[in-house]
This record gives sequence, structure tokens and C-alpha cells, in this order.
Amino acid sequence: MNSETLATPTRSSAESLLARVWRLRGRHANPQLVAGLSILALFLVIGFVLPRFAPVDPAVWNRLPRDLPPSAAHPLGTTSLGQSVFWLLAASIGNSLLIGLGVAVVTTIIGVFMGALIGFVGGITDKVLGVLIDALIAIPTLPILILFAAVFKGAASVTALVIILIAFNWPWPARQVRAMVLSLRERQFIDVARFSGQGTAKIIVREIVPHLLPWAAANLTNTVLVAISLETGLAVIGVSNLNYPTLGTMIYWALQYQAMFLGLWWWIVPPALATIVLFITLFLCSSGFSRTQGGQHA
Amino acid sequence: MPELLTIEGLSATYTRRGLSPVKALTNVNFSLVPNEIVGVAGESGCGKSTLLKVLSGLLRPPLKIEQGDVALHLKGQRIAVTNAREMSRVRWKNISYIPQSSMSVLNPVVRIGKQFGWVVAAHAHLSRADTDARIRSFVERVGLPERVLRSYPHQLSGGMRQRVVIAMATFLHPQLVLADEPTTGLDVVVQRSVLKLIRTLQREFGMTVLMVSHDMGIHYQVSDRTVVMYAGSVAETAPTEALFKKPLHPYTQRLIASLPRLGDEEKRESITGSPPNLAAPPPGCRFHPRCPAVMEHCKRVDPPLIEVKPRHFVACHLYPEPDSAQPAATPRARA
Amino acid sequence: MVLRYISTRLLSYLLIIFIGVTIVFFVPRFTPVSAAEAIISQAYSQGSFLDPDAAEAMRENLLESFGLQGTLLEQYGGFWRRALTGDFGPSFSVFPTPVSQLILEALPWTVGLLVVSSLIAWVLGNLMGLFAGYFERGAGWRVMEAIAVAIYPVPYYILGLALILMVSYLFPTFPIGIGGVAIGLEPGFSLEFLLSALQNALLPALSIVLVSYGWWFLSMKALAEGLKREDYVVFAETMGLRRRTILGRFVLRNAMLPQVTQLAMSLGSVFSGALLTEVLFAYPGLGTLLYTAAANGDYNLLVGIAALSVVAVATAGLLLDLFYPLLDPRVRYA
Repeated sequence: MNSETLATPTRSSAESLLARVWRLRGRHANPQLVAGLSILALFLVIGFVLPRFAPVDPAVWNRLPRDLPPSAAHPLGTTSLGQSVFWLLAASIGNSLLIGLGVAVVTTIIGVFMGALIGFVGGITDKVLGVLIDALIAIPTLPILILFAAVFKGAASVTALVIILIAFNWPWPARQVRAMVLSLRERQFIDVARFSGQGTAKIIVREIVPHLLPWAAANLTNTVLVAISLETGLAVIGVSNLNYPTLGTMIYWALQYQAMFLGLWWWIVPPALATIVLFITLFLCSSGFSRTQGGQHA
Repeated sequence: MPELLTIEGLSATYTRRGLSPVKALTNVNFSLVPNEIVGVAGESGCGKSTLLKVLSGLLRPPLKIEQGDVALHLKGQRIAVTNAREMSRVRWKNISYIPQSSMSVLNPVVRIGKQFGWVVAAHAHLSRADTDARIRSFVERVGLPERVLRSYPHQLSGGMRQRVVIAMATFLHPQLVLADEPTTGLDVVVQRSVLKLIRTLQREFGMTVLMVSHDMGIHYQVSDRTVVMYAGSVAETAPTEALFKKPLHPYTQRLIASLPRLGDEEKRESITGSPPNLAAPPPGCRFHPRCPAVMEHCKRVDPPLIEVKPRHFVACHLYPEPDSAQPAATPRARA
Repeated sequence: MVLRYISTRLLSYLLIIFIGVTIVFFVPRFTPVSAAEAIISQAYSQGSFLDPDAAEAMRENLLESFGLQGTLLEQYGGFWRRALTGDFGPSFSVFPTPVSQLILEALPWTVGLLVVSSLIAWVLGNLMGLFAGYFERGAGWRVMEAIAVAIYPVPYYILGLALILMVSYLFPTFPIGIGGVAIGLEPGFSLEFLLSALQNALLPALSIVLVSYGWWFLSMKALAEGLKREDYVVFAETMGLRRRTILGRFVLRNAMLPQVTQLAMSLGSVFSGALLTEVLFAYPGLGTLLYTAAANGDYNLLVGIAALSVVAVATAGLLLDLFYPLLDPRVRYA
């Protein structure tokens, strides 16, 4: 069999993912995914486009009068630190999404390749890395993250934070991919590829990885959710980088300045609400994606 | 003899929105009397399984009865299978079912004895001790050691599991047992012994068994009477011996000719072509595109089921109606 | 087979602890020295309130903890020795109270909160999910699913925050308990103490219950929808078994297997989420202790809690794994 026929399942699986998402507009609409993707697009615009039009840098303190309730000039009022809540919120959403996307993209890439590798190579590699992956999954990450962040004491750069989140999150996709690869291995066309003399790496890249694309989309959005959730968690208790506006640090400062009990609801409610809506949106996307693949994953 | 089950002019379709309806059964007529084994034969997609679904009264969308009447006659009482309440009252007590795959029909995490107990408790009012004792003796009667009651399904072989299921289906001495390919997935030796068991129990309790199988060999072994179905209709029905000795319908002839025979080195002929698409069946006789004896007439007119010899019915234009006085429009197959 | 199953689980349990504790040992050692020095000098400044002997003891301990004495291997060995005996040295923020004592005081609060709320959520979620999945058609179940979808993805502590906001604006008179019990109450088995503890645990527990409930509801619903199409469930219905038997002994009983595995797997993240929830409500468990330790740079306490978390979660997982063969005869007799 020539390589062109072998590549067919590859291409069709990528195509069918697109087709399936595309068909959303048509008869077989997946309302979850449509809703999720639409709201996510809105979040992306608020987070990445809107902050460019900010009249003052919302991250800098004391540029505006403090504790102003919402008005025409300050749509969501100002904080006790003299920041505009509206523009701060937009920047925070952008930064949180950036952290989430950064972690998710790298995590998914590492996870897919590690999982595909150990699933396909098998043997002792599978055993050793499999145990490591299971152990990393079973270990509660948060106390270790806090230990790490506390040693840096707020000085941890956002990049360091992202790296740590990646280090603790890649085993999840790796484990799932490994299971999927094991079932894919049983299928015939992989054998055909192997008999035709292609190298292991080539087989992984050309035959297996594309099969995982539908799953990867679901996993990616899910990891964005997990990463934002972890960063927010660290920030809320004040061990993230507190000078970097994210949804978590925004909530942290609001809590620190007793916004809730001083009646500054416009400071604490918007980030809390935005966080909740963002999580629901990401979940809708991720479960929507996993439904479009037609039960392909384990 | 009084009938136990009558099927009159039954037509059923699978209807899905946006798709043309699939005519799974078209004008099926036959009936069952007490104490016989009737085999239903045919290729997959001929309507065998649909027939079983209708008979068991477990009609769920997209399956729908379009026309006809299917009724049980129990102790002078007539129960239409569409009457869900009455059917659930008699199900298992009077009409039971042996499913196709005993591999997966038993709860994997519960001991056999317990599952058996639940079946009995749902239909009979017996004391715990009485139930246990009767189950034990019944299990031995179907050729199983008592320890299977303390076992989990995964600890038993396929044959043992199928015996357990047969025991569950016959414990309450139902008048009618519907068996859906009851020996699929078993090796030939086990298959024979399971068939023998069904036969023995049937004779002993005077039950009627409707045995659905694609395997003509099975019908030859156990059925008193065989109904050959093609594309949702009855093609031929006759006492099994007569059917095998002299099959009339070209389709039946092919089915029997394709059976392997001991000491026969010749290559068996198989039927060419494939069954028609039931969403758009061919006009006239549904077998005509595959029929070696096809005539012009066959492509236009659907042959009625007529009794050409005593108890031998066939739906084929090769066999003209012997007596035009007989009402051929609504033929009633009776044994 | 059971023996093999148990020995595999035990081995992976030991490996999890080994890897986890090793990470706890190494993570701080990857940090730049300046960060370690910052903490030491902070601790020194706190130590200046102490008498010279205590300050010296603290300094010694810090040097040892940060691996500034001896080779890495010696430190690693010493770390294990101390970890196995549960001796993580004195706390810096509450000097010289041993870390182990602080942890032991906080542990019952966390375990109580987690076990009670997780159990409630697991039982309720599984039961409601069972009905929702089995009786698919029904607007009520759809609404419940929509609510579960809206709550499940939200982390406990954000939901907790939302609960505080809602309660304090909508019912300003509702006594939001902050802390473990009302101030001034002595721990003990008095009715007053228990009631106060319950009242103060209500909101943190509620946020954990709601989120976990959403998860168990959704996963059980999906399982039940699949199980009701399994051959053995369809056959049980055909045999006319009682509905209660079918729901309980067929669908629920078989869904328990993946649900217990899931529970074991989710322990780590449930635990992590609960720690943050505690902080939000100043609930006196491990989470709040961890938070104060992080805020004060109490390095020994941080390490102690992190190591204990690894062991505790792994042990809970092991117990569930050992319980599993009782549920699945295919593991017990094969």
C-alpha cells in the first residue's frame, strides 16, 4: 500500500472534525458547543482586543479616584487602589486566558507526544513512565504549588508559574492518549504502516497524532479551564504574582481590601461573575468537543 | 387444535424522521399451536428479529405495527401483544424469551443464584426456602452443577451461561418461549447439547418454542415446523421434514442447497446477490431479482401464500393455486 | 488474583508517596538561593524576638531545611528520616511549636469537612444521576442537568465566594460563620460546640457539596444512560424484574464500579480545592494553616503539610482501591 492511501484516515479525521464543528450551523447542531464557542469568542475579544483601548493602564495603582461606584466615566467604578474596574477586568480576563492557553497548548503537545510515544513504544518505557504518570496524577498538586510559590514569595515570574503548571498537568492528557493509542494500535492500518517500513517516530507523527485531533480540542479547552482554575486558586490566597492582573489577583486584592464588607460590590462581583461564566463557557466547549468526536475516546 | 398465538396480516415498519420507512415485515401470517417447535429461518435482515420484538410485545419507537393483528390465546383469554399492561402481566410467566447472547445478558457482579431468585420473586409467590430449593433442583435438571448458583457469570463457560438463561426462561413453565438464535457463539458440540436441552424441556413441559435462526441446520435438528422468511414476508412454511425433503420456493431450495453435508466434497452453492433494501423493496415478488426461475409475471405481482399441499404453504408463482375458490387474498397459514 | 491486585496497588501506593515526597524535597531546592535567603532573613527577623538559644536553634534548623548543610544525598536521607517519623521540625511562625502538632490540630477539621461533604455529594449525585439517566425523558431532569453543568466547572472556592456574596447581600441577617466555631468556645463534645462547628462549616461544605454533586450527577447520568442499554439490563426488564431491583441491583450496582474508581482518582483535586475553600472561610483546617504558613514564610510547616497531603491523599486512594475488589467479583475471582 502506498503512503497516500495510508494517509487517508489521517486526513479524513482532521477533516471530519472541521466538518463536524462546521455542521453545527446545520441540522446536527450541537447547541452546547455553539453556545460555548460564541461566549468564548466574546471573552477573547474582551480579553485581547478591548485592553488596547484602555485610557489608563489599569494595572497601575492610584491613577484614578478611589472607591467610585459605577458611572458613565467608570462603567464598573473604581477600586480602593485607584484602578478602573472595567479596564482592569478586561486586562485580567486577557491575562488569565493567556496563562490558560499557554499552559494548555504546551501541556497538550507534551501530553499527546508522551502518551503517543509510550503507548506506541510500549515495553519498559511504558511501565516506567506509566507509573510516573499515575503517581503525578495521584499527588495533590496544590500544596506543592503553594510550597513552590511561597519560596519565591510573590517574586515568581508569570513564566515560572506557567512552567510549573505545565510540569504538573501534562500527565493527564498523556495518560488518556496512551490509552487511546493502545486501542488504535490494534487497528489494521498501523500494522500496514509498520510493515511498509516506516520508522516509529514517523508512524506516530503521521498516523497516530492526527487521529487524536478531535480529542485534543476537547482536552485543550479543558486544560485551559484547569490552568486558569489553579492560577486563580494560587492568586486568591496571594501566592501568585500579585502585580500581574488576572481574575485571581483581582479577587485577591478585592478580598484584601474588604471590598465585600465595605459595600464595594462593583469591585468583587465582576471578577467573581466573570470567572464563573468563563469556567462554564470552557466546560461547554470541552464537553461539546468531546461529543462531536462520536465516542472515540475512552 | 386451539391456537396459542395468531399472527394475521402483520406489517411493521421502522420509521425515522427524515428517512423513508423501512418495511421490516409485510403481511405476515402464521400461527402457533401448543407443544411444538417452530423454526423461523432466513438471512439477516429478513425480519426474524423484528418478528420477535413484535411477539414479545416490546415495541418501542422507531418500530411500529402498521397493520394486522397479533394475539396470544391463554386459557381462552385473548391478549393482543399491543396491550402493554396485559403483556407485562403474562411476560415470563406465560411467554418467555431466550436471548441471542448469553455472554452479556447476566448481571456481571451478582451471583447466578441471586439473579435467578429475583426472576422467580418477580412472578411467583413462594417462600425464600421454597424458591431456593426449586431453583436448585431445576438447575440440576438442566444439567448444571449446583455450584453455578454460587458463581458469577464470568466464572461459567458460554454453554453453562446459556443453560442458566434457558433455566430462567423455562422455570415458570411458560406456554410460549421465544428463542433468538439461542446457540450463536457456542461451539458445535455445546450447540448440539443446548438444542437437545431445549427440545427435552419443550417435550416435558409441552411448551411451544419459536426458534429464530439463520442456520437451516439447526431447524433440521430441532424444529417440527419451519417458516422461511424473505425480505419481511413468509416465503414458505411446512413441516420440517417435508420442507427439507422437497423445498418448493426457489429461495428455500437455495438455502437448503447451501448447507454443508457430511462426505460431500462438492463446493456448496450459495445464494448470489443480497437481500433487497426494505426502504425501497422491488415490485412484485421480492425475491425476483435473485431468483433463478424468474418470470415476467414475478416482476409485477406479489405472489400470495397458498397451501399447495396439506400444511405446506408457499408464496411463489411457480405453484398455481390449486383451487380458485379458496380466499387467496387473505391467506391464513395454519398447521 | 486478589493478591496480585493488592500487591500492585500497594506498590503503586508506595511509589506515589516516594515520588510525591521526593518532589516536596526537591522543589524548594530548584529555587534561586536569593529566595531561600529572603525567607531565612525573614525568619531571623522574627527570631529576634526570641531568646538567643532559640534563635540559634532556629537558624540551625533553617540551614538544615534549606540544604545548606551536608551533601544533597545526606539531606535527602535526613529528610526521609524526619518524614517517616513525622518530625518536620518546629514551626517558624509559631516557634517553637512542632509542625506535627499544628498539623494534627488542623487535620480533623479538614478530614471532617471533606469526608462529610464528599460523601453527601457522592451519594446524592449518584442517586439523582441514576434517576436522571434511567428516566431520560422528563423536563425536570433536563433542568437538573443544566444546573449541574452550570455549577460543576466552577472551582469550590469561587463558588464559595459567590455563596458569601449572595448570602451577605440577599440575607444580611444570616450568620456567616467565619473560623471553626464562634470565638471563645472551647473544643469538646458539648452541644454548643458542635452546633457552632456545624454552622460555621455550612457554607464551605455547601460549596464543596454543590460542585462535587454536579460532577457525580453528570457522570452517573452518563453511566446510567449507557447501562440501561446494556444487554443484562434490557434482559432484566424483559424478564419483568421489579423496577427497584433493576435500578438498584443492575444499573446502580454496576455504575458503582467506575464511580468508585473515579472517586479514588479525584481525591487529589478534591483535596486541593477544599484547601482553598477553607482559606476563604478562615476554616481552621489544613488549608488555612497552609495559607498562614505561605504568608509567613513558615518553610517547615509548608513542607510538612505538602508531604502529609501526599501521604493522606495516597492513603485514601489506597483504601478505596482495596475496597474495589469487594464490589467487582471479576477482580476477586478470576
